[in-house]
Amino acid sequence: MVDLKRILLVEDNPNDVELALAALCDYNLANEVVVAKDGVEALDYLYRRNGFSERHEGHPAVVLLDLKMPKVDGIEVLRTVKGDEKLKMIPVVMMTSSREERDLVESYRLGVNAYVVKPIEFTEFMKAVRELGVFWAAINEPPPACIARKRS
Amino acid sequence: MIFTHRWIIRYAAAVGAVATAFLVYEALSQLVSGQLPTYITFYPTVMSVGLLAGLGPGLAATAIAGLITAHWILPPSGQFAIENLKDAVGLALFTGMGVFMSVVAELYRRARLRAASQEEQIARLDEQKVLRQHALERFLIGGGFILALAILAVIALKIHQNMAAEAQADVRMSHTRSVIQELDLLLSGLQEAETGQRGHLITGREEYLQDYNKAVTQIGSMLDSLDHLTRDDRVLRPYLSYVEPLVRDKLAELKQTIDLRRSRGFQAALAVVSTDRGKAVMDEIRRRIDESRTKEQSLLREHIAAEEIRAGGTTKALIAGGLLSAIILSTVFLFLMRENTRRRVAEAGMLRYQDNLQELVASRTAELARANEQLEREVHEHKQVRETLRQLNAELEKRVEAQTAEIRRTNESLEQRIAERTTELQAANKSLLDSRRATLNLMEDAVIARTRAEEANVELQREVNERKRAERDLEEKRLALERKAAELAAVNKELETFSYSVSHDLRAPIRHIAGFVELLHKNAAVTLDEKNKHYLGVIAESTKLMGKLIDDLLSFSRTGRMGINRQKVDTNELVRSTIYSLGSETRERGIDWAIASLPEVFADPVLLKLVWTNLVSNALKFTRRCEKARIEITAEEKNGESIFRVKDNGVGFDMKYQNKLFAIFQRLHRPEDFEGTGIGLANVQRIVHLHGGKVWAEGVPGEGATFYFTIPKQDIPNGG
Repeated sequence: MVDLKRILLVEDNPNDVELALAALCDYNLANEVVVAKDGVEALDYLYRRNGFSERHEGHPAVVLLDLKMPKVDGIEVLRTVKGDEKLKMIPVVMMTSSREERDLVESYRLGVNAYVVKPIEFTEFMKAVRELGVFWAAINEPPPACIARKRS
Repeated sequence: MIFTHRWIIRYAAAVGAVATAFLVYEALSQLVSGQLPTYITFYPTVMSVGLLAGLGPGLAATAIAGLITAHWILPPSGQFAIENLKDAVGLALFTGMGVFMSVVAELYRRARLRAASQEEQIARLDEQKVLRQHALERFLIGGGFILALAILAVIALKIHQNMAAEAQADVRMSHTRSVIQELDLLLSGLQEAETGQRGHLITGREEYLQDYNKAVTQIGSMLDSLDHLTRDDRVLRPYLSYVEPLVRDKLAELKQTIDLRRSRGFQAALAVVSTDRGKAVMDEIRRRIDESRTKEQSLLREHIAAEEIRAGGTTKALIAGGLLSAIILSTVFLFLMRENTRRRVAEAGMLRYQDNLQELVASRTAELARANEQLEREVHEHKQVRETLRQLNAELEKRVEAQTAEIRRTNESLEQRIAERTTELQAANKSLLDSRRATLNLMEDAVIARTRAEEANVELQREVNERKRAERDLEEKRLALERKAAELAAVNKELETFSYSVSHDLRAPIRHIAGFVELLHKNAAVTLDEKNKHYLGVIAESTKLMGKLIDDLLSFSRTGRMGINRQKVDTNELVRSTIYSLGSETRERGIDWAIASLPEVFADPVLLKLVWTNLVSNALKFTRRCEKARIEITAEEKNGESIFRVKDNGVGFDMKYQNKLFAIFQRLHRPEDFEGTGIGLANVQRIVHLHGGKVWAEGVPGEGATFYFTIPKQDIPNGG
């Protein structure tokens, strides 16, 4: 019996979404992945508004957040989450192509929980995503407000 | 003018002083019963009056004192006459001395008054030595006076004593003469009495007896008189005490004979006379009287001789004392005159000194005026220089503006070019797989353009620094130039951001290609034939290379963007760690390392490590096919630079491609021989240039290559 927790994947590029889901599939972690295509959608989900007003209560176990996105970018989402008393306990992992130091510094300054540079090598990418999913969705004990589902 | 109040007081004081001196003299005379030196009170009086009141009162005091002495003191008293020569001489001496002392005192008084004023000045100058000298001279003058006065007083006393002794001697001599006279009278009286006795005896006439009686009476009174005269005379008394009984004896004998003549007649008296006893007595008397007279006369002679000796001594003392005091007073007088002369000289010197001082003040004032004029001229010149500088500044300002405009134009064209390139790049990006090569060229162009911009930037910086050193007055202009440089840097930064962004966005599609090829390979492995599998493999490999290219490009782009952080770097340690971090290859291949001792440098350690990593890994890579690889790392210091050398015995290169070695994306070997992206050496060059150094290489195909780079020893970053 393993507790499976919901993962919020915020990624504007469908190819990356597909690759990430493929990676998570191998470990049967894909079922509870919610995909938001940009920062606006991610915030709508977290605040349960617009298209997500009907969703179940509770926070995701982890947010995998891309940095470069149209409209509201990853840094903005991170700032909002970590600046909100209700949301700030949710673990946020930056997943990005950028190795830019200022992004790294800014993310940690805002309170990111982890920062991962996507490897070009597919196997390495798969490995990274899998390890992230397993760590945050299966191993890490989330804060009390997060949704948990018993996996049979 | 002369008869002023002060004048009257001075003369009245002189008269009063003399009167007082006279009264004191009289009082003292009463006290010591007349045995007082005549001028004992008048000398000090005249002296004091002369010193205190001056010449006139001094002379007046002398005159009055002389008159008083002549009238009342010197005998005969009560009239202006002088009895003896000594008193006349004494009075003359006193008068002379009085006049002399008055003159000297007057001189001394004047000198002292002048000295007082001068000493006040000298005291202001605080010249102790001069003051001491003056004190000494004053002491000498005062002492001289007092000594002279003392000598005069002694002389006066001596004269007085002599005169008293003389008077005593006179009395003594008259006494002796009286005694001798009386003795002679006594003898003649006795002879007369005897004559009368003889006459009576022979004639018996009474008239002879009358003579006899008269003589006897006279003898009696003479004896009384002698007794009286010699009462106090211890010398003559004994002689006379013998004489008197003899005289009485004689008188008794005479009387006896006379009585016998009367009672018994002539024969009886004759018998007594014939005994010659009377004659013997008479002879005895004569002998005694002669003895007395002789004694008296010898005493008289002794007195006279002593008197003569004393008179001679007195005269000598008078002459000597007078001479001595005259010498002393003359000396004092000379001293005063000399003092007087010196004071006059000093006064004249003082006046001259004041004149000199005034001249000096005048000349200094003139000098100051001249200096002032000079200063004004200099200020004027300074103003002119400033004006010239201002004009120069204006000119420079114009030049800076012109250059700024030129830079702006360059920037604009650069921006335009970047915009064009961006458009092209975006277009090319869409069909990435088909036109990968074209894209890369475009990127290269962009990088070259950026390098050029950077070089332009460095050049501009150097120019700015030069201006700063040469034209410090142009601070504002330099700041303006710096602002321009900052703008250029901002433009440059944007360009880098763009470049980074392009590289960044390139990664995503490549990752996708790699990912999906892998998925395809995994899913379709069983259905694909070998050829198709090969295609997939080629795509995967190419993608991997592309990814490496992009990563290297990112690294290249990042180099220097952070700025260089210089510090002291231990090159030996850096090279050791570089070789170690290059992994198993360095340890397993049995490479012959020859590493010399390397100097410390002042550089960015992270960037420098990149340089060493690139050079050492190149050396390892190109010696891979050697049987015995040898890598030498040496260094030398020359012309203020540290020159480092990495030499290998690998495949080497042809020197004609030397210029392509350090250009980005340029490779001298085929990928299947030696892998690589063509960015490593470009990065090396860039880092070395950033440190102000040079990089070059030498090589021979098949024999090896040597890479050199330099780091300046004291390259302190200058300016903005």
